[in-house]
Amino acid sequence: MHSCPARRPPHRGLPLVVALVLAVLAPLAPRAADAPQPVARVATVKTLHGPATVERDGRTLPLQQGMALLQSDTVVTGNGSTVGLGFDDEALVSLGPDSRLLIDRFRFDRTTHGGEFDATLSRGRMAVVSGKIAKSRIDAMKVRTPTALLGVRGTEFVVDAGP
Amino acid sequence: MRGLVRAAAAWVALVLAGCAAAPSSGDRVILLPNAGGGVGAIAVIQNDRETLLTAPYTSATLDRRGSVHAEQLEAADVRSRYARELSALPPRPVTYFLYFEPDSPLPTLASQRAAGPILEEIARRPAVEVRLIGHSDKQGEDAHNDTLSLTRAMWVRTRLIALGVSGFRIDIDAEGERRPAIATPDGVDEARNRRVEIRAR
Repeated sequence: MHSCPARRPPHRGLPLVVALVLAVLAPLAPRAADAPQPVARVATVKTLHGPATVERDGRTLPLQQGMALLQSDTVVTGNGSTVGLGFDDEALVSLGPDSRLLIDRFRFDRTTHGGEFDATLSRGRMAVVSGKIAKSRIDAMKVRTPTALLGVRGTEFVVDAGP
Repeated sequence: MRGLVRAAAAWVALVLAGCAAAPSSGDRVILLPNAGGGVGAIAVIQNDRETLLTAPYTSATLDRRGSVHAEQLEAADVRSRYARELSALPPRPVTYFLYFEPDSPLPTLASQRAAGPILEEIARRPAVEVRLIGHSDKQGEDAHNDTLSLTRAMWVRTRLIALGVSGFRIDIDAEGERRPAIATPDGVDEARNRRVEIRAR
């Protein structure tokens, strides 16, 4: 891969290498690529029992009641901890102990009530009461686990990643 | 060049996908009845087919090879097995209405009585977020009604703050006479339009 731009003339080679590296790295650093977008609250930590953390921009912060969560955050609960989240579209999500949930994507239009909500439960258990996004369109809300992809059609459910 | 970038991106995506596919067996989803009655649906989506769960307490388990095993579970078993997760769910969002005296920032006697328990319930909600939407009837000037609807919402806000709700968690909209609950000609003092909508979550 690194040898490909070598055939270009030298004066064009460097910008091309830079462009190629940026293009390849861009998907790995979505936050940097999306930098002009304002940082928007997508959910609020409503209930918290025991220690839990949020991974954001490569840092790990302790979770606190009332804290705002953002798109691309990963919420991680400890042994014996639970967390309850209230999303902007009125979806409710709780995590059981030893769980790990990534908010891949959350976009909600307060006027049309449309949007997209993608989350990944890579470990543990979650309970969900879906909100306005799930009602807006079929499979507007999706939940991934290590082996499953779930389309949520306006409903309440629990997910267990590897019981 | 663009093709090259795309190929490189696809390769990176492939490697990332490989990393993400950690070994795990038997991920499970269980459909619950909606608290408000009825039941929704969950689709277990695979490349070439999807399995739809539509009955309460049905479960789909997926093994690593992608085969889906559906079964009917007992409500009590599900409720006890997932008791911690279900009890950690935040309370459901609610909407209340308080009604006001004609051309007045004060609620009617009935709404003043109702306000106590309603506002206490809201203040008890964990990390509550409140939206207050003030309205007026169509009697009086637009500008006057804008102010009046704001004053009504502020009456509710003051009481919520007195009960310990942070002012930072209360949003206010003043709609004046523009969004009546009951459509009337201009100048009509319709009681059901003199209201504050309280949305708490």
